[in-house]
Amino acid sequence: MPSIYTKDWYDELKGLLNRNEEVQKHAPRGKLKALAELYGDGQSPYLPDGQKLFFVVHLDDGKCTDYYEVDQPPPRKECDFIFVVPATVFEGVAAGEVDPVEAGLKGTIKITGDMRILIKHAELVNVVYEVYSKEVETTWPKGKPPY
Amino acid sequence: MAAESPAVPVRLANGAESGLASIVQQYLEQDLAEFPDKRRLARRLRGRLAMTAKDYETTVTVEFGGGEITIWDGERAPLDASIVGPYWGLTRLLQGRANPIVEHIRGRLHVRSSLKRPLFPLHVHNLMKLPPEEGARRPALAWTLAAAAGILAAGGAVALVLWLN
Repeated sequence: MPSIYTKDWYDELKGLLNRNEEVQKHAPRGKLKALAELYGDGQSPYLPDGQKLFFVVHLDDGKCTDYYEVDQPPPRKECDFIFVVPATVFEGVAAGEVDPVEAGLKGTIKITGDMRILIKHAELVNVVYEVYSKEVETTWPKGKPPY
Repeated sequence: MAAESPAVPVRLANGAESGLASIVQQYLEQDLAEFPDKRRLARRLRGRLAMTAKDYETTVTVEFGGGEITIWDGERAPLDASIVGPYWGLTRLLQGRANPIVEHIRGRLHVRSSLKRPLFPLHVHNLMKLPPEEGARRPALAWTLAAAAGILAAGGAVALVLWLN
């Protein structure tokens, strides 16, 4: 039962992604590096207003090889995808309260990258959402969304 | 080569802030940059098509202006065509796994076009769908070779009959 945004939480997510056959089935082949840039929006108790949190996810032939937080983001051109997300929205996704497809279509989550890969592997978004919201047992020490 | 198929800029209209508009803009920009055939097709297209993900109440209009494509949030009248349906139905179209007319007949999508441009949704679909992968191209190549062999064989048979007579 790791707390959100802890190393144990990232490790548990990584393990769950790698044990899920649907992730393997729908993930793109080859190596991909994605950057998530979360920003405090005044509502999240985990990320103060205006502060940022970055984590990087590496995929290799459908396997998550790395999932870690960084103090400084890697150069944007090194990343295949960049997701810019308000902290409450990310936490809402992790809690199963926010549909990431809706957040993506409405522009609440800003996505930059090769959209051909994203469209071709669109099913992966729902699969990952299932993992985040239903499989990982997140502990919410400062409260669970909606706040 | 560049002179044969010049770039077709794809821009977001002022105020287009939805994620769908951004995804379509980046997607078209990337796809057109890679494929000269698609650039040629894009330059020939004129008109506006609206796509609506009904389950997420999100609509964008793609305007083809010959040398430029503009993406708007919402419906931008006058429209030459529209495609309305669930998000997954639209995604399947873009993935090239479905055809707009077949999906309309099956009732999965609602496809409408103006009398002036009845084939506009098909032309836009041809432009916007993902190109088939290498593996998927092989059957088409095999069929082409088989058809060519068949035509040559038939031609040879006709020539043989004529020669014998």
